[in-house]
Amino acid sequence: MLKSSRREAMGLALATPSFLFLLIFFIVPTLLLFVCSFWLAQSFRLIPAFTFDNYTRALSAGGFYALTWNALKNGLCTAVLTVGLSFPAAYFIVYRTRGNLLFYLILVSWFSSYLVRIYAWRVILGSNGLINTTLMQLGLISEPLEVLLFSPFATILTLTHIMLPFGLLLLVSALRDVKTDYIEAARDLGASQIEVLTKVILPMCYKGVVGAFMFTFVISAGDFVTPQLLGGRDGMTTGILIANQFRTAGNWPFGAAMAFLMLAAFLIVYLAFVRLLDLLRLAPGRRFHD
Amino acid sequence: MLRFYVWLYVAFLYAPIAVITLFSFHSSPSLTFPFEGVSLRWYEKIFSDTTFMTSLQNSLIVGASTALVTTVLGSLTALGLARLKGRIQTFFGLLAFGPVALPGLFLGIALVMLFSQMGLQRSLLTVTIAHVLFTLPFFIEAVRSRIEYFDLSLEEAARDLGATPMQAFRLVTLPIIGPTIGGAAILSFALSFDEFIITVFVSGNDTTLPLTIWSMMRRAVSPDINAASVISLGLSIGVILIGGLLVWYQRRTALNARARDTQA
Amino acid sequence: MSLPNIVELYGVTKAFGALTVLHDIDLSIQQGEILTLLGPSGCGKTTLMRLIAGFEPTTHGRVIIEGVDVSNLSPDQRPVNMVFQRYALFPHLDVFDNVAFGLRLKKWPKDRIREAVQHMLHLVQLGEYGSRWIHELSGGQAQRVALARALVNAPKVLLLDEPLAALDLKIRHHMLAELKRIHRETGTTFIYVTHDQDEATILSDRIVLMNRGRIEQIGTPEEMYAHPRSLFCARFLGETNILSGAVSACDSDLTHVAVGRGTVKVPANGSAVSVGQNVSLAIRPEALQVRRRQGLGETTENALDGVVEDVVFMGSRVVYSIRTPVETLKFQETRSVDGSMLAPGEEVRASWRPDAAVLLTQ
Repeated sequence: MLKSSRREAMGLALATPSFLFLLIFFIVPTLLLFVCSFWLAQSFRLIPAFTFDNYTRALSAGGFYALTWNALKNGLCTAVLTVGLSFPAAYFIVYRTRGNLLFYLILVSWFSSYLVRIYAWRVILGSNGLINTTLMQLGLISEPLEVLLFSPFATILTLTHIMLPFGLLLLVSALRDVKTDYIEAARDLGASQIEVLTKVILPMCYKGVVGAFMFTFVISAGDFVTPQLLGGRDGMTTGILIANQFRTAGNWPFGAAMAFLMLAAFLIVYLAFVRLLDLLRLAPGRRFHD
Repeated sequence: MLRFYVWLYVAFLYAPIAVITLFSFHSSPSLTFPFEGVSLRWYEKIFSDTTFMTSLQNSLIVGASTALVTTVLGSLTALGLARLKGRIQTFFGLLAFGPVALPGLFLGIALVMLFSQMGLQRSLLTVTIAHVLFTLPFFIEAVRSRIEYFDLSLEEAARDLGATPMQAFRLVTLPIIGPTIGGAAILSFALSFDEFIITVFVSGNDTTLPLTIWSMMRRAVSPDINAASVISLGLSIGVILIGGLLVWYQRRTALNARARDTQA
Repeated sequence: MSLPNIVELYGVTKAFGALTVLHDIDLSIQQGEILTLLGPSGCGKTTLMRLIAGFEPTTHGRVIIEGVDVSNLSPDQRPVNMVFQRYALFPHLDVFDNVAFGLRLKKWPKDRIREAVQHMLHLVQLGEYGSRWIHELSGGQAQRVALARALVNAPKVLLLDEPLAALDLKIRHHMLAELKRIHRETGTTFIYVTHDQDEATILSDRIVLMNRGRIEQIGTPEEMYAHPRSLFCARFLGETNILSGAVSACDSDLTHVAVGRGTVKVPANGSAVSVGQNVSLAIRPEALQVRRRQGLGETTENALDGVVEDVVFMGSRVVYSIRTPVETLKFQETRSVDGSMLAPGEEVRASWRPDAAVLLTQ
């Protein structure tokens, strides 16, 4: 008893520096940002106050909903594509290969800098870009397809490309918890390969799949650089609007309020997503008998 | 079928990188085929660009400082988490994961708010603080599974055999978790080196490499940005590869040594 | 007994790359028996079971179940079910749903499933546990659920892969008795894999002893114990004393073997040996007779003189080590009613009847 409490005291002591760091640079700024969302700004100066003006102003502007919808759409499409495209690859890596070479090969591409990848897609998709010029040289089109670049399509394609390796990492670690024993047991009890997937693997790695989906969703819906560089006028998102408040226009309290509204929207999506899986009877922890 | 799909998946991941790399060696400014010839002129241009070289240097400084601070904080935390149980462990685990569960934008504006209220000038220091905040969760996640696997009774066995706490750490704990910590430190460096979204808010006059590439992108598309991109890619991928090889080599030699010992 | 064969293996060979783990195995398993695949780790017993279950394809050879060649069928198409070493109970399902898993895949109607599952849970004495989650079960309970989950599908053969390895000793003995009872009540054929000779002897109708990917010997536990056909078999099943020597003469029914300075006479048993050939003799510890040497005459036939070196009291039995010039012998006897024992240092003579020794040529 004494030994275990000493061990815990040691644990707390070891964790304290990080705790302080996270307190000062994560918890305090988040709270500060929240408090500030009720303040006012006058000619670039913050005036402490307690008003809901920033929130009502954002919520009463019609454009805010459209931009939030754009952000959520980017996030949802990217998350669906990332999880959908990565799951078969993760399955292959966990159950069909012995070594880790393929897995590492994919992970390494995670470190091909974010901005460079955005730039690369601009080169490929642009009106003088690789796809358009090639198609024109082949005589398939006579004018560049403008829709390739500066469109939600370009944003989602690029975000998916950026998120794939990390999504795969999360899915692989989730699938590694589903040991082959369980799969063999299900096969032995008469399950086909598809039934193994739906009745054993998916329920067992449920948390990992939801985690990968939400992580991808939050990062890509909250991203402002990709839509700004590739999204065009129709691809404007809340993220860009918020970033602009802090970089150019300078109404910080307004930006802070919008940031919290954005987080609230994410939360709603998360709850809806979990509810949806529940309704589709995909969530585990349910009894199938009475 | 599935195998073919996976290789397609890999090809999709690497194709844009390959295109950029290819055109960084193009002798003409054109970014389309046909490919006219190979030259290093864009690399020469970018290496003589002082803005680029300074930002590269800044990025290396920030990356190294971030890796150092994150490694110290993260290793202590991971060792601490292994000793904690129940609610405290869950709470702390969630807290440590928090910064990456939120969009980078959110962290960026929260930090810039904090720094301005604290009266802290934006500089490479604030960039490093932001990067530590961003890399710490990854570091802890990467090291944690290994440390949870690490049996605390090994340390106790060492203590029982007469080692002081420091000796137990140095002789038992460190050799076992060392390679993992090294790998995670390199991961932190690479993440910091590429970080842009938070950096764009918290940086001052000193720019980092992604910021320079960003401003090059906002100007007209000029071929030397290809070369800059490839240098940035090469450095972060190179660092990750070297780190991976080191961890792999160390594990392998450790295994071989053990095999030799048991055979003898 | 000549019951029909339920499983037949013909020339089954399994190679993983360059490594051959099973060499040309022929084996018939009878309807309703408990057959144990016994052997040290790496002998191929688990691989053989996985070949029958269908988790691994055979490299050569055929697997026949009830007269049907199943060699090319996947596990879900084979009429066998398995109890896994670590049970592999699905953590996302409760006990009832685990047991119902196979029946639901077969699209049984709801009420028949409920009936079958309840019946099976009662059979394994977990009637009230249907709504428990897997992580709430003890090791022994998890074992029973795994059994029920496999048996509810009424498999032609139940495969058990070291099912007791994860349990502690007391529960293990209890579970062995339970397995026998369940086998009796269901009449299902069991194929049981273990490396534990005690489990094998307690449980089996027949034992298949395996070594290095080959079958060493097949027989009832008594046959295997009394008539091991090889040194490996003699050593693997129970304690045994091994003496080595060279054949000195062959009678019509007795073979003479020179051991040390004496001679051992042993039934020829039809094994073809020639004079001068090196052979081994296996003598079980309880087959020895040991007396104090004082007052006994000289003899060199089927006897060795020695000194008691060590005495181990094991409750109902006493085990002695007797050092002789040739070999240190193990001797075992039931504790005598008056509790008298030999003491370390006493000079004794160990002797045995000719038919207590088994002549081994390999």
